[in-house]
Amino acid sequence: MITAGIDVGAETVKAVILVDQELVGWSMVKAELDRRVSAEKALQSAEAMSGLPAGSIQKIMVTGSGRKTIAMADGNVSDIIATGRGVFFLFPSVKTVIDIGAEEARAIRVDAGGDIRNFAKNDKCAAGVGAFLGAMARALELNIEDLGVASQRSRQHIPINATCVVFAESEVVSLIHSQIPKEDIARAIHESVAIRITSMARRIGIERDIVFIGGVVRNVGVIESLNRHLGMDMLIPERPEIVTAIGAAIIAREEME
Amino acid sequence: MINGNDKITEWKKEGRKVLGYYCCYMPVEILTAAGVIPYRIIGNSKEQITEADAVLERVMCPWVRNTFDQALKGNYAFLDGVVIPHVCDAVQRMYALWRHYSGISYHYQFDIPHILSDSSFRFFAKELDLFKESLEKFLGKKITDEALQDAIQLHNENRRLVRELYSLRKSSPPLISGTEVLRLLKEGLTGTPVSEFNRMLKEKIAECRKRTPQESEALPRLMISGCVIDMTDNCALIEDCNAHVVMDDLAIGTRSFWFEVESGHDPMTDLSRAYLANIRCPRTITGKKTIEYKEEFKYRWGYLKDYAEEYGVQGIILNLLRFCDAHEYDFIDLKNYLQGIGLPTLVLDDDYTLGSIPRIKTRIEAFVEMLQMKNPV
Amino acid sequence: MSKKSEGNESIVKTRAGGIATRLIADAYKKGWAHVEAGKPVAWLMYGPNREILRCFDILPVYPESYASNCAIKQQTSPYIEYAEEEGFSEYICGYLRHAMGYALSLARGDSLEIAPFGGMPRPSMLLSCSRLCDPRTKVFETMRRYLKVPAFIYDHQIPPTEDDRCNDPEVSRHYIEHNLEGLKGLVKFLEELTGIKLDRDRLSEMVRNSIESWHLMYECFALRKHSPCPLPLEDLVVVYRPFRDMIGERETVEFFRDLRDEIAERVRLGTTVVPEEKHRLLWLGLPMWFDMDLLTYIESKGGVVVMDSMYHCSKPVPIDTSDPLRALAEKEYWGWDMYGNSDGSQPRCGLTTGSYVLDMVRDYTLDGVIVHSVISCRGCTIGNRHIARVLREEMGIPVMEVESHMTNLSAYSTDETREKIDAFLHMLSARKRGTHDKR
Repeated sequence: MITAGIDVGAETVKAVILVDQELVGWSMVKAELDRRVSAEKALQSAEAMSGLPAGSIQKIMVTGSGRKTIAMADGNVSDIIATGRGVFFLFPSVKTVIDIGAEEARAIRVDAGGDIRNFAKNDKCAAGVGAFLGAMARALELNIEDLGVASQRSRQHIPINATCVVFAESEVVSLIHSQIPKEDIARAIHESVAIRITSMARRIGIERDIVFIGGVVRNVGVIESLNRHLGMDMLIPERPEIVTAIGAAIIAREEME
Repeated sequence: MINGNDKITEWKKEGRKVLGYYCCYMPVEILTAAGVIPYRIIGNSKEQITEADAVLERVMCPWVRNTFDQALKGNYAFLDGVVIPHVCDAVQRMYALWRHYSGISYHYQFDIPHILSDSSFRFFAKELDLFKESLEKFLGKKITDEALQDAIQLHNENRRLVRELYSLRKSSPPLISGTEVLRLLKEGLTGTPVSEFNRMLKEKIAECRKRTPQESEALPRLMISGCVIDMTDNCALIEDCNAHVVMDDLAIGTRSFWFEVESGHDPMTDLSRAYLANIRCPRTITGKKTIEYKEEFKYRWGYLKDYAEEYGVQGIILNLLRFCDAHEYDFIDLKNYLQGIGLPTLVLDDDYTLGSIPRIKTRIEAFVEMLQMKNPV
Repeated sequence: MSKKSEGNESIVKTRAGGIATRLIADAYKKGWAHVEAGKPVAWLMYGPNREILRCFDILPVYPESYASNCAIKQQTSPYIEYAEEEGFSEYICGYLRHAMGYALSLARGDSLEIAPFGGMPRPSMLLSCSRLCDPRTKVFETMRRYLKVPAFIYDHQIPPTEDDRCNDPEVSRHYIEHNLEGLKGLVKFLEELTGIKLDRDRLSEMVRNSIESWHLMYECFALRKHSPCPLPLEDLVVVYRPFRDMIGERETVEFFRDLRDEIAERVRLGTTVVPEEKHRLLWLGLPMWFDMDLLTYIESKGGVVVMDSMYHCSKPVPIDTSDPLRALAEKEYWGWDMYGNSDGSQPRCGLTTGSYVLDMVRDYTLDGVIVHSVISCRGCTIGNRHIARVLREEMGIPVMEVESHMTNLSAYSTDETREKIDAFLHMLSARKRGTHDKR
C-alpha cells in the first residue's frame, strides 16, 4: 500500500510517502499564504524523491492546522493523533511524547498499541517556548543555536524565578547587568523552560520511553535540561519535523485495511 | 528548606506539636492555649516553583502557589497539622489540596465572614469554637477558658511589644530598619512560642534604645503596603535605595499586630470581635451602604493616613500581588485616596518574585530621589 | 435581565429550550416597562434572593448574566475596554469587568443604543452577598462610586462542603442562622429604601413556588441519568435561566412541570440528541459561552455533553415555609450545589475535593470529562487541575483541558479546541475498543 501524509503547519508544510511500512520520500516546504499550493509542492517533492511513478499514491491523509481546507486529501486527522502514531512508528517503545514548537508545547501519552492515551498542552497565559527562547536569546545577543551551546558551558545554576515572560525577561536583563556569565544565564533560561515542560508532562504522567520532537529539538540546552528534569534521556528522531506527517500516512494505511 | 530549624527539632523532642496556619485571621491564641507552637506559613520567592504546576493552576495568587510548592516538596513536613481558614478564594483551595498532597495528618478549615455585623461576630466565634473542639480531639486534651485567657494576655503583650518596637522607627533616623523589623517578626511568627517571641522583642527594643544614629544619616521615609509580602528581600531592596522603610501595611507587619483582644465576653467571642473587626485586609468589608464614597474612603484607608502622620512617612510603595482579587478591586480607589491626601505613591506589579528583580531598583531609586527633592533634609 | 441570543436558539434540542428563551425575552420586555414606570431597579450578583425583591416590586437585573449573553453574541466590547482603560486589570473576572465598564459608560451618560440587547437599565441600588467568590463581595463596593447609588452587601456563608462538616446538624444550623440574619438585613435595607414593608404572605407564596420548582428541577435531573441523554448541556443552560432569573413565579413552576413532562416523554420514546450516542461527557467549569457551538461540534462526532459541574440540582429536603425568610435561608443551604449521592443519603460537594464530580461520572455513566479553565475566573478554575489529575490517575477517567479567557475572545482558538476534541473523542473510542490499556 502506498500512502501519503501531509502535515500543514504554521510555518512549514511537510509531506511523506510510505510504501507499506517503509519511508520512501519526504519533503518540507515553506508555508505559503495558500496552504493548498504548499501541500501540492511538498507532495510533489516527496514523490520526486521516492522515484515512484505518478499516481501511485493510493490515499492521502492530511493533518495540522488548516487540514480541512486541503481538498486533494482523502481524509484528515487531528495532529495529536497523527503525532502519536508517527512517533510510535519510529519508536515502538514510546510511552510519552514531548513536542515543543515555537508557539505551542504538547505532551502526549501513547499506549502499547500506538494510540493516544492522554494529552496536555501548555497554558495559554504562558508564551510559546520557541518564542520565549527567541526573546531570551535576543536579550543575551546570541542566536538561538548558540543559546543552547552556551548553556552547556555553564558552571553554576542560577534560578530564574519569574514564571511570566515579561518578568523573566526583566530578570535576565538584571542578571546580565549583575555580570553573571552568559553561559549561566543561558542555562537558567533552559532550566526554567524544562521545569515548565516537565510540569505539563506530569499532568498526564511521564513514562519511559520519552520521545522529543518539534522545532526546539535543535536546542541542545533544552535537551539537556529536560533530560535532567524528567530523570531520563529522551529519544530523538533523526528527522523530527516529519514525524507527524509520517503518522498521517500510517493512519491512511490503517484506514485502507 | 523553609525552616527545618533546630529550635523546632528541640521542641518536638519534648513532645510539643507545631501547627502551621495561613494568614492573619487565625487567632494564634487558640494554638498557644492548646500548648501548640504556631507556625505561620510563609513563602520563599527565591525558590523556583517546580512541583505546583503539575497540580495547580498558574493563573492565581503567586504567593499561595509558592507555599503550595513548598508543601509538595516536603518543606513543611515537620508540621503536625495545618489550619487553613477561608480567608480568600486562593487560600481556601489550599485546604483540600494540602489534605491530598501534604502528607500531614491534621488539617482544618473554618469559615470567616467577609462582612462585619453582629451576626458575623457570632458566626465567627462559633466557627472558632468548633475549631477548638476539633483541635481538642486531635491533641487529646481540653483547651480551657483559663488557658485561652492566659494566651490572650500573652499575645496582647506580644502585639504591644511589636508596636513598641515599631515606635522606635518614628525618630529621624529610625532606630531600627524596616528589614530588621520584618526579619524579627518573621522569626517570631514561624515556630517560636509567644513567650520566647516576647523575650526577643524586649531584647531588641532594649538594644535599639541604646543606638545613637546620626541626624545626618536620615533618608527619605517610606511605607510599604501590599498583600502578603513576607520576603524581607523586598524591604531590603527598598532600603538599599537609600531610603528608610519606617512603617508598613503588610500581613506579617501591622495587619497582624495593630490591635488588642479586649475581654468582655467568653474568649471565642473576644477573639472573634478583635480579629474580624481589626485586620486591615481588603477581603473583609464593612458593608456600609453609604454612597458618600469620600467618607467611605476615609473609613477604609484613613489608617494609612494615620500611620503616615505618626511615622513621618513621605511616600508609599504599593506592592500589588498579581491575581489578588481582594486588592485589585480596591486598587484604583486606594490610589485616588492616597492622591487625595497628598501621599506620593509608587505602584509595583509583583508576581512574588520582585525581590529577585534588581531592575525594580531603578524605579525605586527614582521614586526616592523624587522624595528627596520634595523633602530636603 | 437578558435575552437569549438568536444563535443559541438554533442549537437547543427541546421545546422547553425555545420556551425558556421566550419567557426570558418576555420578562425582559416587562422589565423595561417596569423601568419606564419609574419603579426601582436593582443590579444583583447571584445571591440575594429574587423572591424578596419581587415582594418589593424591585426589578432584579443580573450583570453577570448580561455579560455572559454578550459573550455568546461575541459582543463584549466596548465595555471590557472601558474598564481596562480605567485601570482594572485584565485578570479581573470578565463578567465584572464588563459590568464595571457598563457602569462607567452609564456614569458618563453614554447612550444605551450601542448596548447589545438594549442594554441593562440604570440601577437604583446594588445588591450582593459574599457567596462563592471574593469578586462578588468586592465589586459593588467599587462600582457604586460610578453609579452613585447605595450598595447593600451582606455576609452569606456557603455550606462548608470541603469535608463532612456540612452534614453536621449543629454546623448546618449555625450557618443557616447566620445567613438568615443576612437576609433580615437585606429586608431591612429594602424596607428603608422603598418605604414599603415586606409582605410576608406574598413572600411565603413565592418561596413555595421556588421550592416546587426545585422539586421539579430535581426530577428533571434524575431523568437525565437515562441514556440516551434527554437534555444535553446546551438545553440545560437555557432552561436553567428561568430557574435562576425567574424563580418564585407561578409561571416558572408551570414551565418546569412542562419541562419535566417533556424530558419524561423523551426518555420514554428514547429520543436521542445524536443518532448514536458514542460518548457521554461532563463539562467541568463555566460553560464556554462564546463558543456554544462547540457542543454541536461534539455532537457531530457522536458525543453528548450530559452534565456540567455548575448546573446541577441537589435533592430537595422538607422546608417549612411559614417563616419565609428562614425558608429561604434553608433552601439556600440545602439547595446549594451539593450534589447528593444517588440515594440522597448524604450531600457532598467538595469544591476542590471534586468528590461530586466523581459521583456524577458514576451516576450519569459518563465516559470522559472536559475541564474548562478560565483565565480571570479563579473561583471556577482553581482546583480543576487537581480534580483532573484525580480523575485521570486515581479513577482512570479520561480528561481533556480547554482554556479560555472568559470575555477576551482573542485569546481563544475555536480551531484548536476542536482539534483537541477530535483527539479526545478518538481517545475515548480507542478506550472503548479495548485497544487502550486500561488502568
